[in-house]
Amino acid sequence: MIDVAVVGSGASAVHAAYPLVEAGLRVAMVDVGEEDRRYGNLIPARGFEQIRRSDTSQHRYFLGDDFEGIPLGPVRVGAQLTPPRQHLAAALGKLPIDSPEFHAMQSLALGGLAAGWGAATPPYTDEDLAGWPITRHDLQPHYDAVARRVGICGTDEDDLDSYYGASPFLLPPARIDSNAVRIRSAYARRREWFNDRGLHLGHPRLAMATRRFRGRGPTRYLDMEFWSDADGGVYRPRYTLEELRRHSNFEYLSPMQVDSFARLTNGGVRVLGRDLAAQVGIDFECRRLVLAAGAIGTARIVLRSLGAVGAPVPLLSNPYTYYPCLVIKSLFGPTRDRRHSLTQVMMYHRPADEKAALLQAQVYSYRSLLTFKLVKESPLPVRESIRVMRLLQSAFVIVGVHHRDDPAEWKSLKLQDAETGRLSVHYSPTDDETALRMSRERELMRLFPRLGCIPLKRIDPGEGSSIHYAGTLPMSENSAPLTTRPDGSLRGADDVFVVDGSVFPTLPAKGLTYTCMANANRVGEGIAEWFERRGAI
Amino acid sequence: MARYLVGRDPEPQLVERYRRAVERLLPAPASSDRRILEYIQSNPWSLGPLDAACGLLRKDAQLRQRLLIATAILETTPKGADRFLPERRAPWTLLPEIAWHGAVAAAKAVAGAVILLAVIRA
Repeated sequence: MIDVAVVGSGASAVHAAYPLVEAGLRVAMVDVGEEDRRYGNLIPARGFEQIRRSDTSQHRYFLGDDFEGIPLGPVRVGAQLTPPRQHLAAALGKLPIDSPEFHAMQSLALGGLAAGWGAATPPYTDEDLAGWPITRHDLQPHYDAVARRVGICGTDEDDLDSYYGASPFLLPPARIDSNAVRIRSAYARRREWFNDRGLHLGHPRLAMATRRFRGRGPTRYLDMEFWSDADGGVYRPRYTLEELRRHSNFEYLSPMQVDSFARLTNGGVRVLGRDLAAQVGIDFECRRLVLAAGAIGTARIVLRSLGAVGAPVPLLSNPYTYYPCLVIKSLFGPTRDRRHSLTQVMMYHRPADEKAALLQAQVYSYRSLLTFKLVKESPLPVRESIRVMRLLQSAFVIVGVHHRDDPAEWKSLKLQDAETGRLSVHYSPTDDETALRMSRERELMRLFPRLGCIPLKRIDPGEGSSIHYAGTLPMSENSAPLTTRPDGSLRGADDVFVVDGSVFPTLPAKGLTYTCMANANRVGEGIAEWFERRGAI
Repeated sequence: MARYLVGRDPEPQLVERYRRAVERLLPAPASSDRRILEYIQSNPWSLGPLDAACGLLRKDAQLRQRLLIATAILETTPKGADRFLPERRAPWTLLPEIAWHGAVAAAKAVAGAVILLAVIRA
């Protein structure tokens, strides 16, 4: 019998599997593992501008063979997924869900949604973890273990130190682009003024190899991160999966989709699903089952397995909006061509005079997402837009704003049909909550002109647009049904463990992926210790 | 459209790419869209004013969507790089140039609005 079966291959799955494999347990990772086989190999490992000037095949990956990279109509969720990344969003037919008011992006890709993740790795502090049954102290060794595995660049010597806490293992910070340099120097000139108004900014922590690290990188600053992983700079879960596959006690079973599980009377778990290649059912037993199919996917498996049709579980997602902005000094000064496309400046904002929740804002430079998408949003004639955008483009930045999310009656997910696994989502913010978000954003954006950065427009892609989903099976000390224990085990199915964002009781504004990985490592170590105590290793 | 957007005729393969993209992404034009497109075919000079008017009054017009598709196709070619990658200007020419484009856009929009109303009501 397999010791542990892990469902999924995303950020949580691989870091839960890692300590189990290292402990010598027999681990099987069960995954659909969809991959982009169309575009990845077409993209040269060259810089964005060089590609633009020389590659005659660029239209294939920039626009897509079916022109899926030309977004017409209103801004939609997932617009940031370029054609080479669109395989990350699974076809709805495979994972049925009714969610008219909430965009629920689900993935069956190898590496899950983290295969296109923006790589920001802010750790949670005790303040972020308020109301959780675990503390930063519990997570710290696991943040460190994951940092040593994925390679996190950044510094602990700027104003974001208190938002991150101790981080003993950091690669050198990534080089920042000209817009970021100008924003940071405007901040440095009036630092106290900004701090008095609750704004702190600094280098982002990114899962990016700024020097050669575990056989990948260093990042070559190609500005192609939205399109390709050609230089291996940005961490993707498949790198850890490749390490795991070198162990003889690890097996990667793909393409297989797990639908449900059943508890065995003599201990252990029976796993049921489908082999998508052979088009036959799968049915095997393991001693422990680890679910890491994403907050929505894991909830589907649990609700189907426990027959909990119609029972609402919470659903959390960071509300997200973004603001195209112009960095005025960049209109006139020189710019650096070599850069990465991910977060250049990280900001945290909380008005100093109240106990409001923290906002996270990330500044990206726009260039590599192509001009025609900006032209689409312009009220000018297309011809004049092209000319104006060309003059302004080097000064364009996108500021993405994340809000925290807490459980509420109006945010829930239910299983509609156990046979098909169809889910439904109810997620409809109250007017008060929407107004609060707007007012918090207005407060933040009022500070931007002093950073030399003029917000042009607010774009709200809709609920669920952060693609940060969590909270469906929250960890809790209370023994309520459809919750998990602090050790990750599922109440009602003790041999089943949940390691993805499902277990988050609240969702701080900071990105969740690093904490998913650290918590998965924590739960994985706990399971390995259980086997060790029983003398099974 | 290519001549209007970037001032040069497109290569045949770009025209074919545009044709496939329109076929793939856009439905058959509604009657008002069809009237606008037909008017431009018989009066190519009206493309600029109608583009400007649609940008303000009818952002979802098929004319705008076709222009965006053409822009995307022109941009993603090595030749397009010179027309789309950022361009540096001295401070004393940047603002007048942006103001000039704004003024041209406004003039086109006024003329285009009149044509647009006439074409749609015809």
